[in-house]
Amino acid sequence: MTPETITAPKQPRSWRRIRARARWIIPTTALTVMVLAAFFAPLPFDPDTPAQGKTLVPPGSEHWLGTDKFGLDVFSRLIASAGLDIPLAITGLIVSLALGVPLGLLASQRGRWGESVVRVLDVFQAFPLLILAIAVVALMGNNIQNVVVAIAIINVPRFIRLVRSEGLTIRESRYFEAAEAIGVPNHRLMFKHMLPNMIGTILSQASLAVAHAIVVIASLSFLGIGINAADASWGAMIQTGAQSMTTGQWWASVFPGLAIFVTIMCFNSISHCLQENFGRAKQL
Amino acid sequence: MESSQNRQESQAENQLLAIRGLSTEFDTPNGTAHVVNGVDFTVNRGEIVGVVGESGCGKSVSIRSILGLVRAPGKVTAGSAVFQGRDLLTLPKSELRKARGKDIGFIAQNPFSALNPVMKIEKQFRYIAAAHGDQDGEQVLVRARQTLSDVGIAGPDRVLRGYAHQLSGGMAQRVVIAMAMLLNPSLVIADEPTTGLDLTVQRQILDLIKSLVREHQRSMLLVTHDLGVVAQYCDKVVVMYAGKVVEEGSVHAVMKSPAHPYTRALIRAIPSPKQPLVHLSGRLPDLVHYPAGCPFAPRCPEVHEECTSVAPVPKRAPHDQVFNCHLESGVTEFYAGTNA
Amino acid sequence: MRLTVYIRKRLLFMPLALASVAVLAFLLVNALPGDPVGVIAGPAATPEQLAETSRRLGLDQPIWQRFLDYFGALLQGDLGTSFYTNRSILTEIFRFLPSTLVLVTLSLALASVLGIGLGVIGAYYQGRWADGGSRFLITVFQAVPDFFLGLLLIYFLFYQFGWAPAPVGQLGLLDDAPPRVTGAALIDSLIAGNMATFWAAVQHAILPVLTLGIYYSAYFARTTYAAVGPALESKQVEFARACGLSERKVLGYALRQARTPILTYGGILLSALLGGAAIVETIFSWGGFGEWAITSILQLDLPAVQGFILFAGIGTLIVFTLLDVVVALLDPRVRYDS
Repeated sequence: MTPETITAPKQPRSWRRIRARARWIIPTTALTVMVLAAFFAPLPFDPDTPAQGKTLVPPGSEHWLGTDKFGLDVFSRLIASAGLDIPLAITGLIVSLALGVPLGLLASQRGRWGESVVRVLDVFQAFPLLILAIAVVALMGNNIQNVVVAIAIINVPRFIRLVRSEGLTIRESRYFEAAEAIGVPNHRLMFKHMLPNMIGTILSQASLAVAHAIVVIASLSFLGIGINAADASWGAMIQTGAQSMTTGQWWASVFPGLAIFVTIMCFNSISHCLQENFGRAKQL
Repeated sequence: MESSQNRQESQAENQLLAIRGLSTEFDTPNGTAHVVNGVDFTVNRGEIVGVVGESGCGKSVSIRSILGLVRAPGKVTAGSAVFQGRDLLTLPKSELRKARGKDIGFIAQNPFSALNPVMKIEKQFRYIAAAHGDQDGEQVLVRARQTLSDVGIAGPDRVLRGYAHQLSGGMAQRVVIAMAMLLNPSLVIADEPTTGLDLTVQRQILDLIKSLVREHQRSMLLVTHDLGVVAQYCDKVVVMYAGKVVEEGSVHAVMKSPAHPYTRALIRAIPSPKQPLVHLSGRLPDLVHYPAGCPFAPRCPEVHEECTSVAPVPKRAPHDQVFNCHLESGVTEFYAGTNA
Repeated sequence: MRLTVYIRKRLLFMPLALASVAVLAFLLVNALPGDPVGVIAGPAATPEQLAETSRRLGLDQPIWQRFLDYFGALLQGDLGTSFYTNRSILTEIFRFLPSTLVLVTLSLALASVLGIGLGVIGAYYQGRWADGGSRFLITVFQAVPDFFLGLLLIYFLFYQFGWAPAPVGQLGLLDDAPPRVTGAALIDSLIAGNMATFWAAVQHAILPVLTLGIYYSAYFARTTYAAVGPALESKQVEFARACGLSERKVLGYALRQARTPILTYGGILLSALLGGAAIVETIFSWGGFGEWAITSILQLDLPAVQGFILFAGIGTLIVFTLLDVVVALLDPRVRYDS
């Protein structure tokens, strides 16, 4: 006989679900819209053509977010930058994952190899990675591919560490032990037993890393490194508007800064959702 | 009339802790879990009361509710816990804090979870004393040494100067007991004090706790899932299931003639060398969708029609226990075919 | 084991670690694919110019030869000579290091106070509005690049409210510079006893310290929250409460348990800030170590870049070792387990 329930489900439950869904749907949509708009949307002004005589126009009905010191429309340039910064950051992350995850899996194997990898990483971590990245780009050649390299330099050690640490924990679990005992070959162990169980954490951290990469890209373009100064990028926009900040024309720098802020919040939110829903349950 | 009034009065005088209608809820992602549902029992002076039940029956939460240690997302929603004339549940926080440690001592389940790993033992004793206004370092040290030797630690100074992780499980638990007794409480609450320890050590610790309680005419509330412990060390037993008390009575009465089907099932389940293992099938009810009627109904071997829809009321059984069931107290035939 | 034994063990490890750092620093700068000579000489260089640059940089020699030269010089304390100023790199570093140290120390102090405060509030009032508020602030602080935060502060505190002076460096253009001892205006003016300049230096430090302090407080807050939160839910704290300890004492208890990760993080941040403050230094014309590094990079001053990386690596190593010792001092478990 089924016992009758005397408590009806409370309101908060469905409300919670909606809020949880919104947490990743809204950011993902926002990001996609931004990137697509950069490529396909008709922008009110050409992001690369200055409007004659209209330098440092405050936000208004014609130039919605104003113009910078060259007369370039801030809004259009802002959207155009989304098409550079966001895909670049994501590309950098994909490369980092492609290198970091396999290396991390290998490093999680028993034996001295894993230990020495960690030692090398420890020494590597002693260096100021951002400066290192800047140096690498400047010295290897000021182009976009090297920006990807720079992002990789910063993130590959982090992912090797993460994957190794997750891998070691999984090694201690019962199901892994069982798989080993049956005689599953090593590469299958890693790819079919370990990897799926850490993918949630990896992706969550990857999302955070993309957010960080956006900052790195902005820093690089702020300094004029790696990304051509003429290309639309939020960091470069901030640099262009920086001097004017001290004289009160804030819009040329603040809006790109806000764009970075919004983008990072989006990726952080996505990361949080990934961790909540796909992060490895903390049990063996 | 008069004699029963007298009886009631002297009963009241004798009561150290009286719990009535204690209810505690937890707010979970799936809804509100009713973990403790109207718990009633009493601890008299000088009495050792065992609270027993399977994991998740709400015994630990009840204890914490009494002590005011339940934190968000949990909340005590109803009931009273009258201790030395004051209701602990309505006391202002500062008053309750003062009672903790001084009037009510607490022995935790895992000593290594109770002791601070980065602080010298000596310092932890000082903290406890200082929390109750005792700042005199020397005196505290003297008392700490005394309580440590009371619990059977031979070299108290070495222990005081060291850290928790340097102690064995048994020794660490002795230190915890010493801390609980430091300020001479009249009530000691022990939450499964021997669960984490080796079997041989368990007996020693339980013997120690019992003697410390008896010596100073203290009362004790001993939470455990082990009926054997209850049988050996307690005067009274409270059996809990799904947040409710299903039976309460003297150990002798409950163990020999258990009135509630759950208690009987528990006793039957005590393993015995020559008998096959008896088990009780089924699981605890869903605490979020708490069933109307008796919570034990789905698993009860003596379930009736009304059990699933009407909540049972407490009744007296022949040997003065109180039990919560629809059955009439025809319990005398229990002994046939059991292995108690 | 006793503390002195532990320290000795860590120190023994140092030479090996230092050597690894040196090797890695060399490799990172010299073993890059790509053509530094071409980049440095410029796209319009003639073959003679390329050869000349290559010779000047010492890049015409095989890599193992360069490594030996580098390592040999290193052991003598010579980090090379800057291309642009022709001063020794070591001199350059010590010209700029004190200014950065002053900035970083002050910023870390602010970051730790603010961050630990926010973290503790969030952890203690978990589930209530103070927690949400604190977490929101933390997320916001972390989501803006530090240089943007600096610009915003310049706009509001300098331009709008006039509370801070113009971001022209450690001192204003009209201030008397004190005689140069360390290069850090705050220190030098104190040494010279020039209180007017000292005050000006303090004022000029407000904005950069605020920028870095606010930005990095978020990281401190996160670590504090993650450490104190579980500590407050721990059985130790429950036992402490059961023994009647007041909430304040309980919080102290929890912080004691959480201090190791917080301290460790502080150490990590300290070493990260040595290089990480670079862009902020540039914005405020602070004249610090990181700013010099970036200028050197932009000028393609190879020895300077290498010297910077090496120095930063060694600095971090020293900080980490010191950190290990302090942690061992505070947390007895560490000593006994290793």
